[in-house]
Amino acid sequence: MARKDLWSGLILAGLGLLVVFVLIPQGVVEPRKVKYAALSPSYYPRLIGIALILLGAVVALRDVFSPAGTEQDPARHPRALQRTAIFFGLLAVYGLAVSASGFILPSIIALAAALLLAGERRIWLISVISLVLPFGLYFFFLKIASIPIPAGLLAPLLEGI
Amino acid sequence: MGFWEVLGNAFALFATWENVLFVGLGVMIGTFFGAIPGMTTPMAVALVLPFTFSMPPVTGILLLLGVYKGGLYGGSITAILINAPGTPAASCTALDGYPLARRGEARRALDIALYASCIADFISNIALILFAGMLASLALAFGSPEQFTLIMFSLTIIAGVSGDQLLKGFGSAAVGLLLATIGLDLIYGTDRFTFGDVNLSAGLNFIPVLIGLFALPEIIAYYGRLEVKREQNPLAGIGATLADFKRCLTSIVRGSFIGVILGAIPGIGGAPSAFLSYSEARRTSPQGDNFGKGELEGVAAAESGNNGVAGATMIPLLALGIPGDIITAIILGAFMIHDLRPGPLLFVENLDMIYAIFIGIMLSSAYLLLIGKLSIRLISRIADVPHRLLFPIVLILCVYGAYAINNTIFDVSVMFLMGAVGYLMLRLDIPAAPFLIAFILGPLLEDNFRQSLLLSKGDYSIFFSSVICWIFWGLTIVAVALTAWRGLTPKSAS
Repeated sequence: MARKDLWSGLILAGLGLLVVFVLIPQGVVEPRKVKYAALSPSYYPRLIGIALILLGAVVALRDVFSPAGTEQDPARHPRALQRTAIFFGLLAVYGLAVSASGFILPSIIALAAALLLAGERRIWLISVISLVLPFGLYFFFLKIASIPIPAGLLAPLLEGI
Repeated sequence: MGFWEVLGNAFALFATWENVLFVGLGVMIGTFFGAIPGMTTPMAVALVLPFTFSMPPVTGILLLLGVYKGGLYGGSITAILINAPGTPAASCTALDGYPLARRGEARRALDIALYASCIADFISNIALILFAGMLASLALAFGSPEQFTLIMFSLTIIAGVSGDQLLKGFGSAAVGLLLATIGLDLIYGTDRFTFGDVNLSAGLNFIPVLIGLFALPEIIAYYGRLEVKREQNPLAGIGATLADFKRCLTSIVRGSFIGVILGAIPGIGGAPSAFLSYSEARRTSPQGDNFGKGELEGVAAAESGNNGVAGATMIPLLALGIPGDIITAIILGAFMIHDLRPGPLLFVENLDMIYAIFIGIMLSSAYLLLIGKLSIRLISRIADVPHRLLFPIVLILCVYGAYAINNTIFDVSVMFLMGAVGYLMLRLDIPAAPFLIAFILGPLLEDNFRQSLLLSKGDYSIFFSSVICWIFWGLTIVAVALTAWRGLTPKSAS
């Protein structure tokens, strides 16, 4: 990514501005009476927010006044952007599917997809790992750690096991 | 009763096959649970607790202590192998342990982590036996202002782990401090950044944040990289040598003592101790510049600091009846179930039982070495699994683990979100370690800062009111000055 420091500075400063001018007024409930300013619930986050603005500004300005270097990552995949975007999409769908239909089925599909995307081509291995791991973890947490992992759509099938 | 008579009674009380077996079993269970992402040591101790109800008091308590000690070491296994620390303290081990594993030196890192854990555990146990009374009174001298100055000193490590990205490191730490403020305000009980969501009332759980920040960005970044053939490393697959051990010994001993002192202070825990030990090792080591890039001494320092607290946290529990953390609170429960009330009276009424527990605790250090050594050869092979298989598997482990901590999908969402944040930080060369340190130490810093001001009615001079405060301010100034001096000195000269 080019101009990393500029982007870093802008993001840090932007976050600081967001905290001081939006998040604190909207998200911190102040008590009616505060004995000393330093005891106010917003005192400490505001201090951090201001520090972020200053730090971000310095980081960004240093980049503006310094010559930008270009660097190439020799290990970068030729389709890095595409692959990363697909993986982010996979994570988003997986996260949503887990909340909607339990852990096992989405994990089987997500694991198989992630293995394929990573370059594994042995279908038998993908099938074994994708089936054994989600079920294995489900039973480990349920039977040994006594933590019920939501089975979602598969719950009726697993009942009583 | 004289000392030798008490000791004789204690040996008689301890010398049963159940005690010897259950200490080892506890260490084994703890190591196993600690090595699973999402399974924390308090969780493992709590799971084992019901099984101790029907056991004799010494056996039950030793089983729990074995789980505790095994869990502390087990947490470092995932931190080293897959960059998914199971505890905040183990995240310090990941800073150098994971880069070592990536170079194929997982076994070497695991070996040193084990040796550091065992030595620190042993020193901590000795301190517990010899200095329980003295350390308990020192620990009681630590009020809010002293704890605040101690945390301030611990935070100086941020400059150390930021490498050549000092300003970005400070920015990263500020974001960590900010994230730690989410939840109910400690003094007024009002909402801070919760926006009405009950999941946020107790703040963000540190495990999903740790996993998201450390393990997920590596996995995401993998998909943007070519599968690089691993470099031929002559140290690949080889364990730590005597020379490695000798090189790390100073850091291990120093970290152990840091752990003992901080562990005796209720409420401090293993993370500040691990970071402080790491920080001191980095400052004094000739390999200081290599810390964070895969330095064996870094692993040793973090692990000794982390494990040095193990015996010491028992000091306020046994001597004063004050549990220093969640685990000792559970162990306090176990004492009470067996009609024992930790505190000064316990040393009068049940001295033989206390000594029997001490004997079992010493045995647990030996078990830790034995069980750890037997398992390392097998466990270290995980690092040899091709990344195209390992990373997708780790992803699923992380998702199940994040859920298991609080049984809530919310934690899984936090982990995914932190993964995206961590990936962005990775791409922008913003160091993640300062974020993590600040996120872990932030609540302690703020709570002690505000509690001190509440005590002093807003007078800031409370932060200079005791010798301990002055000592830590002095150490902080020295640490900052040394960091600045290092930064200004040309590399070739240093």
